[in-house]
Amino acid sequence: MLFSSITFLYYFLPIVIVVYYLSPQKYQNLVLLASSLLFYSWGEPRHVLLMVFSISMGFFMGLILEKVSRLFFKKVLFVISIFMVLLPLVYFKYGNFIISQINTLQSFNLSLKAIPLPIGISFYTFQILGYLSDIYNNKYMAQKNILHFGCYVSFFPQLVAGPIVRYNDIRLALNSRNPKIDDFCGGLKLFLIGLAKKILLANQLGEFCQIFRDTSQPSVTFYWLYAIAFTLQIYFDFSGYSDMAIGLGHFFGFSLPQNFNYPYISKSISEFWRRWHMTLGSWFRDYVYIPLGGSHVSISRKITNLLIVWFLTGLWHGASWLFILWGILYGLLIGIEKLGLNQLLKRFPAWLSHLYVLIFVILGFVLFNANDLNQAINDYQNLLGLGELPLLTNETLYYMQTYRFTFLIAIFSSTPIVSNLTQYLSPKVTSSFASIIEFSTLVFILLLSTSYLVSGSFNPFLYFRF
Amino acid sequence: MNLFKKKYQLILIIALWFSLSVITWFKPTSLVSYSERRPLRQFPVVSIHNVLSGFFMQHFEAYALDQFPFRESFRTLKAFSDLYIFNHSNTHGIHVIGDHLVSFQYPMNDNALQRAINQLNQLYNLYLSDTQVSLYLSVIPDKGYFLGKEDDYLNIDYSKFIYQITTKMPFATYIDLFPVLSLDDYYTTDTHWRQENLLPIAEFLLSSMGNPNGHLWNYHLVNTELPFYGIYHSQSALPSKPDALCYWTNSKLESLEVYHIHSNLLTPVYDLEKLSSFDSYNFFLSGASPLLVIENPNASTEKELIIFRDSFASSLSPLLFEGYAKTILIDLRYMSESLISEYIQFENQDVFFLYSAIVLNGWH
Repeated sequence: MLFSSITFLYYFLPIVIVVYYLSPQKYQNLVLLASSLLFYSWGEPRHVLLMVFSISMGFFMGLILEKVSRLFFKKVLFVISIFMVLLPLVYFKYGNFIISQINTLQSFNLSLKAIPLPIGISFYTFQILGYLSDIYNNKYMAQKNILHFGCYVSFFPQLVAGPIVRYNDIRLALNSRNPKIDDFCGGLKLFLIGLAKKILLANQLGEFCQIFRDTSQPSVTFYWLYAIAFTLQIYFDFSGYSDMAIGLGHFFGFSLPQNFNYPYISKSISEFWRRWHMTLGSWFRDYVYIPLGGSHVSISRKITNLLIVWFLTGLWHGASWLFILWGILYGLLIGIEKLGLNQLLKRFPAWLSHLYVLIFVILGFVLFNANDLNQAINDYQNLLGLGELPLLTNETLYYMQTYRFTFLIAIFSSTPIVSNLTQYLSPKVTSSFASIIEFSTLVFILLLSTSYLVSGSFNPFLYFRF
Repeated sequence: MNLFKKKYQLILIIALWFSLSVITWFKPTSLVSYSERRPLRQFPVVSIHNVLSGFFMQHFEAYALDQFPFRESFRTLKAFSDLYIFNHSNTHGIHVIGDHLVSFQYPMNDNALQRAINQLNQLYNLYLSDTQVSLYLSVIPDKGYFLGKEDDYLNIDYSKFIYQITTKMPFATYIDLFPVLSLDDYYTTDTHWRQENLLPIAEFLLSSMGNPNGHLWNYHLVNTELPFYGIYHSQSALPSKPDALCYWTNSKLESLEVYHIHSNLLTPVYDLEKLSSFDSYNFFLSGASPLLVIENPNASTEKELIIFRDSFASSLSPLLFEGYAKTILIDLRYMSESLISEYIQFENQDVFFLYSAIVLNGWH
């Protein structure tokens, strides 16, 4: 089930909220677990068992890891538990990729199977891995109640597309929470803003990308517009979904971590990744990069660690060499920045640093969105004007004209300008006036987003495939 | 202004949201959407198989979209947002230019056009090449042809379009309708042409096909007095002024009967019952039909006319009936060409291929 669907907005969510708040507190986690399983089974009725398996595995292995005191046995158990938790992810997400690599390397002819990828498997597997790693490192006690643990892993707001929530972030809230009206208001606002980002911006930019792929009159300009449109689309798509998830978390008294912080205003790639999919970046930092030695090692080891982390980051996004290349590209750029480019960037004028980041991010997303390496190479050739395409065509001009406001609104909204402007103007107007404006905007967003859904508009969700 | 303190703000938004939600659950199910001219999805059957296969969920989503309360108003809101907030040149693919709603034919679908040409050539080789029939061909321009001459819109290259079809159908004499039509000859909310403007076109066609006297019958114009909202109105969801649905008639035309071979039915030329259907344009010859026969006992000639056609011919052909003793209309979209010989013996009739650019550009 998508957050941005009529089924979720007008059937599922209102019922869950009503049932949740009518239930005694001791049953609220049960309500959330049951709702989450229903939410998941709506799109993946068969894969719900797989999730139940992963929950059980994480829960029991956590209990056992906590009980074992001898380090050797603890290590063995930890490795076994990691293996068991990773097994479904490897099979469903990477099975065919591994087989095709073996076939290529060894000239075998192992057959590939059409294996549907369970939605959200990368997200919930990483949550369980993080939990087990923390139990292994004695960071906190294992959860003793499988209902609470199941609620943590399957919590529907963050189940299918993150943010990747650490157990420690919501450990206390799982036992007891008391959402305040302020939390609910903030959550509602965030949820509706996320909904608008997804439906009003990401979907329209997605339409533009689709038009580009179907065009009969490609041009160099059209390629650049596509690259920019996709860069904006993926941001609004994913950050919109994250905002909705965080907003929903507030509805039920959970404070989920921030996942995006205006990444496109970054002045370096390192900064970009501190602002983009923040929970994934911090997960890899804490559970892979630091255990590998982090920054307190030799330069060569540091670079190797970085490349391992970014290889895995790429691989996390998908079982394809394109994603791996995309990850390694960032690993190399961050490595170069750490080796000295960062110092140089600080001396650059701000606009040049922004331009450097945006160019690499835009070019990176072209690789990310290509169907295969040939298409990526073709896209790059045409972006650089090395193909035989004209600079501009009638079709490019027409769609540029048609989508110009969408681009402008999207570019404007991807920066903190609106937020800064609101903060600047707030003290200058009466609180009642500000409330009316805010109220009207939120109502308008709800109705307008609904109108786009009801009209059956283009409504894909990019991060479902991860 | 305390009303707009945070918690009241929250209560109001939640109240609006949940009210819509409650109406969604309890609203009686609608069967059809008249404005969209289609049946609406109904609640899917609940069964273990449907649930486990995901069929139920998929169809429930479609049902929820179709049955959403105030659906029409929400579609209109979206249309306004497209045009006036995001400043798109169109909404739901429909452009608003002056009084006209139009969907431009773009891009030119070479494959579809080739399929059309192949089928008509096949028809010629199968039935017509060894006969004495006189063959004519006309293409009816889409109204976008008259609206899309500015660089602001994407439109097909009509000269290339016509060149392709005329060079690949050399057996038919091409009667060019482009210069004799204008934007005013089309409904503002629909794809079709207005019959009230077609008398000179019919006269031009009759004379081009060897009826030099043109019209002999006297017609009078009747306004059905019913508002006609065309297909573009339905697609765009924009509020628009309805067209008037008018028709030319006389006692001789009213005495003719249209024989629907596939259903063995006789209907009048102008079918008043269809005025209350999804598409009032079906008033002309009762709408889509594979094969129609109209015999004209008042004709001063023995000549017969066979029209291979689409829906544009429904409103035009009544104005051609007077020139022929018998008119047969064949719609190849609903009838296999292999069945034609069961009904027609081609000898020395006038055979007219009359197709709109819209249908040719989307030929299946």
